Amino acid sequence: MARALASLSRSPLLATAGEQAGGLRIPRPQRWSVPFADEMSDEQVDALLARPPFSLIDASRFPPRLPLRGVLKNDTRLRLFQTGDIVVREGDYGNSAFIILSGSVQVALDSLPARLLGRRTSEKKTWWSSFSQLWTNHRESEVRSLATDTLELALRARRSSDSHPHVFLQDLPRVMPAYKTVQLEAGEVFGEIAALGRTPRTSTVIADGNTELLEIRWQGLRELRLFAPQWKEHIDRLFRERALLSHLHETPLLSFLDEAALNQVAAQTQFETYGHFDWTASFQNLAGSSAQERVLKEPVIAREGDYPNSLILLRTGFARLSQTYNRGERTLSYLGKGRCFGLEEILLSRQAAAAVPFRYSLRALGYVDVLVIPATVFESIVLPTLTPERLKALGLGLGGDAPARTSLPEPDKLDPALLEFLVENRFINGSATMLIDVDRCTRCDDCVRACAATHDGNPRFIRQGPVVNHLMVANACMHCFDPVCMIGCPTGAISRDSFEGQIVINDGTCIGCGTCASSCPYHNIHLVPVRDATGAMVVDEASQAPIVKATKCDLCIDQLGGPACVRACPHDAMVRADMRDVDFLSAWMQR
Amino acid sequence: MDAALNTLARRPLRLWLAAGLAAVAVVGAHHVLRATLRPAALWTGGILYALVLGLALFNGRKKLPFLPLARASTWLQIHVWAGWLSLLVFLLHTSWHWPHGRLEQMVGAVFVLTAASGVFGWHLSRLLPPRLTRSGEPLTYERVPEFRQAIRRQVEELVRAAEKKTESSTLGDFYLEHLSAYLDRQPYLLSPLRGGGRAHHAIMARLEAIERYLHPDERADAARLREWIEAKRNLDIQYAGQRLLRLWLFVHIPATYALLLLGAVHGWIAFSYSGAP
Repeated sequence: MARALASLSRSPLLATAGEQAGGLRIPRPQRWSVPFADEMSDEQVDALLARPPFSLIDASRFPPRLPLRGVLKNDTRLRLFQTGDIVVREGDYGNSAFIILSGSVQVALDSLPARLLGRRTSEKKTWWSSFSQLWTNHRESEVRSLATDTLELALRARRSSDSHPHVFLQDLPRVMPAYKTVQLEAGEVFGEIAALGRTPRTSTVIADGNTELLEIRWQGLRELRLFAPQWKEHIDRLFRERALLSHLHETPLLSFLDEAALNQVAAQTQFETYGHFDWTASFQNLAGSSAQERVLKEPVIAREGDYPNSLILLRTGFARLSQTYNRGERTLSYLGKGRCFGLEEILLSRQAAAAVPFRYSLRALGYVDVLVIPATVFESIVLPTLTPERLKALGLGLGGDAPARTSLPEPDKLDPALLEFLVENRFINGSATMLIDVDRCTRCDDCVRACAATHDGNPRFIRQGPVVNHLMVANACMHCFDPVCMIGCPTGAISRDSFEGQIVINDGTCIGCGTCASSCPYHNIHLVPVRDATGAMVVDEASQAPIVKATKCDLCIDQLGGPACVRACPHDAMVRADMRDVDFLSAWMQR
Repeated sequence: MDAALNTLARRPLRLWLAAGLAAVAVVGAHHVLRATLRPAALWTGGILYALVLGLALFNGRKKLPFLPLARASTWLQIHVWAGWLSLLVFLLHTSWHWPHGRLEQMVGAVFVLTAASGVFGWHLSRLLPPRLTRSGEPLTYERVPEFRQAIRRQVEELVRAAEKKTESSTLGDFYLEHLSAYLDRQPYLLSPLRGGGRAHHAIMARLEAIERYLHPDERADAARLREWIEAKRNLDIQYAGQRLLRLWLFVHIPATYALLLLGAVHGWIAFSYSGAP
């Protein structure tokens, strides 16, 4: 039965062309099947190879399948900017770093106002404006006041000579003196923290005059760090200077160290990344695999049974904690940002005066960025500061023979089937995942109607999704901790709200390119054709094709009282859950 | 007892207390009014009308999802308990007797219809969701006709291909004589309450019975047919369950508006002839 219905849902017309013809045949995609940009010519690559820093790299260290020339040809692109063009925006997710080839840029050390950066500014509706939706809501769905939107776009975006749209700051000389900035000149690198660390851009960078930049995507940076030691040293040094210390400062386990000791730890700490930066494609490719195949394809950060030679701190992303169980891997938990792995083994080893191997495996789910503190450094510098009382205060430590709460967040609280389901589908990424208790849900669709009534007459979610036990994860934006949808948005229209952290789309600067929709691993972003105030479709004057905008759940950011869907459910069947909060999840499931 | 039905035990204690206190207060006030020779029927009628009006506001809340008017689940809990209270007030108002006048009988009948449909809906909303969950893949109600057609198309293609492959008519005959009608069959309105699935078991038994006549190559096709029959079964369960969960409201809500209208006329007449100032 399950097979029949599943195939029916996959395609109403049932069998795909590929299935009928015995499968579509294509050449196996290779590392550089899709280069970063098509426009990099051999002459440009030659010119790059002839100038520092690339002229200083020993190309013979690169393997034949990944030559330096190939990296430059396929993983980089040249970008030209004019005065005021925003190169990167604070808060955006980026998968690339930049080298200044000529000209200069200004890095804003202060946060620039959201409006200045083309961001949506969130304002709650008043009681009156909420109530007036009763008669102001248009009869047609997706009606936009395009006069403002198009004006904003025309003002804020321009096509540049390198074919990528740029958003620019108007009147740069007047605006920038009000903020603290630093100037970077030719030869300097920026953007490496976000590119390597899967964190939002920490500053806004603006072109100061005509500037030529070489943009290197994350994969290229990885190869350069792997095969060019001086490059790795340089990038790691920048990373240490700009981000590592602040992260170590935020780690509770290291909070008892003085500045000198922390610097010593930082000097020995290694920075490592696992998984694909833009992991949507690799995740979707796993769809046909069995559960065990999926686990085995996940990059291993630490393997059960290995010698615990380091303490691993998760800086970004999620990792699966699993243990071998007969012929498979049993998921015990999932770890997110700020969690550590290996502490209990180090503590046990010390207690037993003999090496206790890792008792679990740690595997990257998506893209994971870790800091690795060598066990010897940890034992000599950190461990002496961790008295039993301090460990207890941190919720860590050993309880008899059984180490508790160093890695495992109370594994018994979640049903094992539910845990496997959440981890396997990576729903653990959600900060506001829409969960529906289908034992309570009467399928009345009051939630859908409430969403439509508060969002241009068109619901921003679909009340459907995979079900385990009596829990459905509906197709609604989960406002991910790791929002891969934000990677690649050409205008920065999709961003994290600076006040409450929701992922929102600025209608004014969305150009309907669909990058976010195809990047969302959960298919929770949709493109909808928009209408003008008369209810007529808006079309492109050149092609006559409908103008589309990306839409998704915004958690009713501008509505009074929070998400309308949850408030509209008469049976308390729906919740927007922070998937890190296992206690809440468990309690909600067992109501 | 079905766990999902055990909602009374899950209700917060304060709702029980509030409902109990309100019931005691209403019964006590009624006794006092009668003992003091006051027009108790006018008072209970007024309270009853106010309660019904308040109950009807729940539907208004649903039309205003953009206002922070407390959660709909809170409204529903109050709606349920106020509904039970209104039944008590109705009984006090009618002095536990069925009314005699035509208008009063009409009002009484509409009240009973509204209350009964409400209790029925409340029961359905706790009984059916777990059944729908356990029956199989959840389906969107609006897409059921599309799925129904797709199943039929798939089954027809399967049977035709089997006939062509084996030059045997067993599956084709089975389709024409039994399966086609089963696939066309719409579930009865109250079938979610009956359970059973007699038609499903019958068609499965018939398919099993023809197994002995099948060409070896047809057996795999028969197994796939079995899957499609299971899919149709789930489709019927999802469709019938969701249909019933929607349809009861088409009785409850119009009956409520009719009750408000008839109640207003009844109240106006009662006041007019009561001699009350």
